[in-house]
Amino acid sequence: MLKDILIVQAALTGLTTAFLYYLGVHSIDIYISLYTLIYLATMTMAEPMPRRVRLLNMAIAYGLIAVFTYFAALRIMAILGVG
Amino acid sequence: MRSDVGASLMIIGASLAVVGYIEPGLIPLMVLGLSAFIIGLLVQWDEGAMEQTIINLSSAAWDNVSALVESAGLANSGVYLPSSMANGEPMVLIPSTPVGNLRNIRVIGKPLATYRAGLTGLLLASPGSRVALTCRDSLTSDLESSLRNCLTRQFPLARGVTVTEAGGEVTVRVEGPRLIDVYGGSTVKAIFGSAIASAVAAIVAEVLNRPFIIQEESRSGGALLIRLRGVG
Repeated sequence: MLKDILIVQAALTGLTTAFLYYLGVHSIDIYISLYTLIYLATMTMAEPMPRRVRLLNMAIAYGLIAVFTYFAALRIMAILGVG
Repeated sequence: MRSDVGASLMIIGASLAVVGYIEPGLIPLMVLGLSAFIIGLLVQWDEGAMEQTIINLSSAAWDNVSALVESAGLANSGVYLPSSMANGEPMVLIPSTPVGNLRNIRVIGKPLATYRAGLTGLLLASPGSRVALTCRDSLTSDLESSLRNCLTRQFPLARGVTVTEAGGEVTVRVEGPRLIDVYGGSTVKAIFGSAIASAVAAIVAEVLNRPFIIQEESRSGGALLIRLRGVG
């Protein structure tokens, strides 16, 4: 079950990354944000997971959300003209 | 044997991420590397997790067997019988007396058998019985190749097997054993031996067509040494 979801996740990540590169996007925040969305969306389909995988998944999800929040905050600060 | 897919994905992913980070303009490569690393990490952690859940659930059955054996006052090591002695199926006889000279084993019907002069014992299937039954068609008169075929090809339980025979004893060295606690901590392990020892004993009994008991199991480096003694 988890392996099927991971294959879907890898395919979506590959397609999205290729498409963004084709569009000429070079900023890391957009790549990371979209990867975070793909990760969170696909992993919800992998439930129920064994306990230790669920804990790892939570750690990865929190890490990605933290990075996403950081980039989002930078963007918002730039728009507001802060810093 | 553990699959190496997770570890491989992690290494490739980490390498791609580092190259993507160092080299300007390769941000997409870095994200792909990060994604491969995370997928590898999840695959690695998922390995064996479901297996463990199944073992936990089925440990109730082993606890029941353990209680049955203990309540019957049978705490002796199991004797691995070849199928020719147990109505066509490799089985384990748990004798009511310490194993001396097993003779005249007669199956009354599962789960009972008589041996010697009318003594009664329990006749049970062990994990090894299932292994020997599955591998029965590929067993030959060559003990070592039979064990190797069964334990490394049909069942992924070990990387290699070597056999030494001396007198009535057979010593089997199992290289790279996959040590699974199929009994979930139940005391029945003392009677059947570990899953690998049980499989080895059942195959040895089947190939040599005589009863065997597990005399000793010990670790030797990365290998498992199993000493079996022929009885009867």
